[in-house]
Amino acid sequence: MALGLVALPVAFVGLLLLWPLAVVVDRALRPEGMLDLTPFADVAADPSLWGVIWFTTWQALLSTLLTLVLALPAAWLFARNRFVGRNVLWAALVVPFVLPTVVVAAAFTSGPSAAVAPRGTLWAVLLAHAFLNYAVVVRIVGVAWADLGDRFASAAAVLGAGRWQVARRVTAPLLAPSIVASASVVYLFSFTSFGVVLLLGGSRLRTIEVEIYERVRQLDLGTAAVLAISQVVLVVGLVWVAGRWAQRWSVALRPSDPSPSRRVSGARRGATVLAVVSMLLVIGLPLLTLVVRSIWGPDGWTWSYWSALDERRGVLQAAPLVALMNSLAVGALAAVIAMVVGGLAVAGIVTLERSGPAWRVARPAAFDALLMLPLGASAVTVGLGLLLAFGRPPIDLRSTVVLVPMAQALVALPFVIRVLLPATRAVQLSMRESAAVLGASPWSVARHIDLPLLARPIAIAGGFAFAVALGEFGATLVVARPNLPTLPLTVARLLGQPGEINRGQAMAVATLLMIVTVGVVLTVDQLRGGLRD
Amino acid sequence: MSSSPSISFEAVYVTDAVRLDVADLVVSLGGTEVLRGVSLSAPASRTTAVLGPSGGGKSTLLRAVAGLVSPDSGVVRLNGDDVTTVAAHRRGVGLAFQDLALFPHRDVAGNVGFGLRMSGVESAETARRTAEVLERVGLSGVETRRVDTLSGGEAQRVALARALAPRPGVLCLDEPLAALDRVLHDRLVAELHGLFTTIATTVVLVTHDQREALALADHLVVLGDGRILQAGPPQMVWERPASEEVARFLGHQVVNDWRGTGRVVLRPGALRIVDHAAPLRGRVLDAVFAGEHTTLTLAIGEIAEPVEVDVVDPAALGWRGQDVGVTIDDERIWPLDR
Repeated sequence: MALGLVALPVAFVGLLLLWPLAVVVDRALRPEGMLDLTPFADVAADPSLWGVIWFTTWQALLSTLLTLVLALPAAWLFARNRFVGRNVLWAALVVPFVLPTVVVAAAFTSGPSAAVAPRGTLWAVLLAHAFLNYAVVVRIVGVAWADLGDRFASAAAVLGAGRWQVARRVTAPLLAPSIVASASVVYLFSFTSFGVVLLLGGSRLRTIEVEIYERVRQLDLGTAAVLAISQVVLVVGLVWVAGRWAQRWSVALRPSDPSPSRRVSGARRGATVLAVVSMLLVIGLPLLTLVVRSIWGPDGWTWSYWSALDERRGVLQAAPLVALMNSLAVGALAAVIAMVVGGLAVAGIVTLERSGPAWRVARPAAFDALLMLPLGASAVTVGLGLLLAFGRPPIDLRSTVVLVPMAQALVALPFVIRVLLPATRAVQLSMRESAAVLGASPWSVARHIDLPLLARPIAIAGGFAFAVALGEFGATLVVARPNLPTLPLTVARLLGQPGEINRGQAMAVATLLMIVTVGVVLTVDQLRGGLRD
Repeated sequence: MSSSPSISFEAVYVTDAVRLDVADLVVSLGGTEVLRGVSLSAPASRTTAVLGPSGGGKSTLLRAVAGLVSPDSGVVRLNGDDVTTVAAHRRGVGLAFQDLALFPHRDVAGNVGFGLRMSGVESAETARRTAEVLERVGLSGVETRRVDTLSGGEAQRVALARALAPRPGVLCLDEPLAALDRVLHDRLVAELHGLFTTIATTVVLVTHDQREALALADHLVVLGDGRILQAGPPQMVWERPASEEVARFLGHQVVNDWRGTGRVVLRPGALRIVDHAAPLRGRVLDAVFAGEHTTLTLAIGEIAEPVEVDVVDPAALGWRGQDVGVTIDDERIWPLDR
């Protein structure tokens, strides 16, 4: 039965990810049907492409450092202090992380940040990356810091360590693993960044991901394939190095008793207020800018950008409200596909893990890794693969609408599995065995025990899959036909056009997308429960 | 308080008498042999207690009987029928888990009635039988309670009721009372004894607590390191342990060289302190207060190693360093090397 459960997700990932990736590799290595390394040689000989790879590498490093600088004070704030609005702020942290990249890019094209770092500058890209990844660092390091509690610092203090020595010799080494872990995630996201760099980087700044897209657009599929393969190799290498690092730094810590937070008093008050204000600035300012800019034109306050959302103007393929309907329909379909495939995959993995020691170690882990591949392969590469595999005869699915939800489902799949797998593993074996000895068949156990116990994780995974699909940009941009624009594509299109009305409408559509996405995620996040107190 | 629960002894609740036989059972988990050829018989309508230390394979034995692990070899028979390959949900063996595993998404009635529902009993009948079995375990009127609001003792009773409700041919209980405090533990032992007598179901209970096993068992099996060390009526096992391991596990003292006759088991009461002059004398090396009695450690001249003797008189605490008279009750001494 377990093998049957696994067959569908394997087939899905195989057909829609591995096969397209194989086609990309084939395209890169055998452009004319014979092994031919000329495209690789051409890429290697092109100094502008080396420039792209070099820029990708160091902008990711700078983005990571900037994110750490901005986020670590906030992590300290949540971990070690009690203050009014703490739970609300903690919940609000999820917003920047789940916002579609096009919304973030739109927010950074105007307002105070654009005055400091206008479109086309490195700072615009770095700031947008820091905004997107802020919550990753705050949440990962914040939870670790709270778990650390007072106990080690107290033990060190009793042994005669001063405050500075405690910070340097106890707190910093114990926090290092979580800082390294979150920094690796930020680096990886910034390394494969697409929407932000495409929309904010101007014509000069390009990551590998953007370059792949540009090549696809120029129909230079050979170079695109070579770059995509190079990026997959680099990302896998980075993940491997990060894994080794994390292992070396890891410290086994049990969560401390819930006594870490202190009521703010005295000298701490200043630092706390500063941290809260900086947080509100980092998260709030760009979003506020976006909303204000959608109702503020050259002649003052105006609703004209919003009231025109049902019109299909010349620059657009469809009216923004039609794009909203497209997004909702396609996103819902993608979420359903991702949930069915991800749910079956998780059921299969857990059943295999429980079926015997032989399966317990290597094979489900390998399978787990396979389903995570879309994260490493990056969205544009996923799109390119789908395009090469199914976008031309004999299988031309481009004229149908199925490629877009398929692409979005692939991108959402890792999120679904990351939520469902640990939750399913956590269902006590004795719970399921009790049901079995009471006469419940395996199907009844799934229906009466697993499903009800997993109702919350299932809702959370479904909500996240929907949100990810709604905001998906890279893969959608590559595979979507012009007649099926989604909201993110509409924002990008408007941002790419000159003129005040286009700018203003881009802001309005981005605000709309933000409201829909944040609405979905906050609804789902209610189910998750807040920060431990 | 009148609402204080207790298990009802009235009303007859008889299931079909099912005899359980396990033959040469070998079970490996993760490459280690946990059961190494276990054979035992649990007589129909009687309580069989499997006593053994933690990690001795007791839980695995129950899981194999219930059909939750497949043995490498060996046979499980119910009334002579080989059920070794019958799936757990079709086997008709009830099992109450040590961690209870009450379903958190169902109320008490939803938990207790689960097995009835699975076997297709209609809802009115399920409700009636749920109420009946809850009353039997001394918990009337709690049907709509959430299981996470139950006290430890109540949760224990609900788990028991849930396992009992479908009237399994064999009811297995895995350390049913291990998590309870001592007062509640002792009370439930007495109640379970009454319950097992009235329901006349074949019960297999595993425990590491020898007092619990002795109190509840009609048939006692001692399991250690994946093998059966001894099986028989509780009184026989208590008085005539088959090995030093069994004796020590029952809490008996073992003396390696007893007046030249080799190893013997000293059951409680084998040695007694007397104030009159006795032929055997011992010196009190230590005296430890233990509540209802005081434990003396004695050095007796003709025995090579110190022995312990319990004395009811609290004045014994002051006897350290003194010599006392000792008498021997040969009825309570069991030689191991014959």
